[in-house]
Amino acid sequence: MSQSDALYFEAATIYAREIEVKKKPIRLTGGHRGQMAKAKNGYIVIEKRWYSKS
Amino acid sequence: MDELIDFLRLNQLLSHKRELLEKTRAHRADIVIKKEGKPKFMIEVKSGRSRREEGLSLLDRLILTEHIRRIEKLYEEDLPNIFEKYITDWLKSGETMKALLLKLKEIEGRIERIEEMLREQEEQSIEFKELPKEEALKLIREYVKSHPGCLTSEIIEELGLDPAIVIEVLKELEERGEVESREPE
Repeated sequence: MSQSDALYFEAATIYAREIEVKKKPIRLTGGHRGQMAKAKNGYIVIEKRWYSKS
Repeated sequence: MDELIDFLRLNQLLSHKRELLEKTRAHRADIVIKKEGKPKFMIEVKSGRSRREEGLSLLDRLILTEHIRRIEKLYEEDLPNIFEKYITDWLKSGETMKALLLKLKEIEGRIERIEEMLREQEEQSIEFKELPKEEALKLIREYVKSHPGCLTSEIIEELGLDPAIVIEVLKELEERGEVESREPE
């Protein structure tokens, strides 16, 4: 994944050295309100549910 | 300042001279105030031997009385004032000390609370281990088997494994056909 990719996710978890949640609300496409967080040096894990096949 | 002291001394001696004249009935000319040396003014009693001795003795008593008066003043006025000032200053410094101690206790309380918060954070923190890939693979395979429908983050946090290793292993297990992923609802 290159550094300028924007990924859509249903759910994600961020593990980072620094995470700053901004207080200012943002308006997402589709008219939904949301929040913004900025993070440095870490991982964004796009959540999936896992099942064993065996 | 010297002039003031000389003036006061002269006044004092004039008062002594008046008293000497009254009490010894000496001739005015017998008791003179001389101006020389230090102190600049002094009383000299000129008269016959008996009168002279009587005058000197009375002068001694007057000087002694004057010293006693000064000492009494020191004990009755000066020292109480000095002590009062010292006690007031001491009480003030005591109040300051009390306020400082209260502030210190408050700071100690804050530090304790911060330390407690840090301890709690330390206890609750997750430390990611970097296991060899084969070892991580076994652990993740077992976890998914025993926790069907678990989220990626749950695997990372519950097993305490580095996120990059977990993602890599999950991809490999998916490619092998051992696990399958679904979008979370």
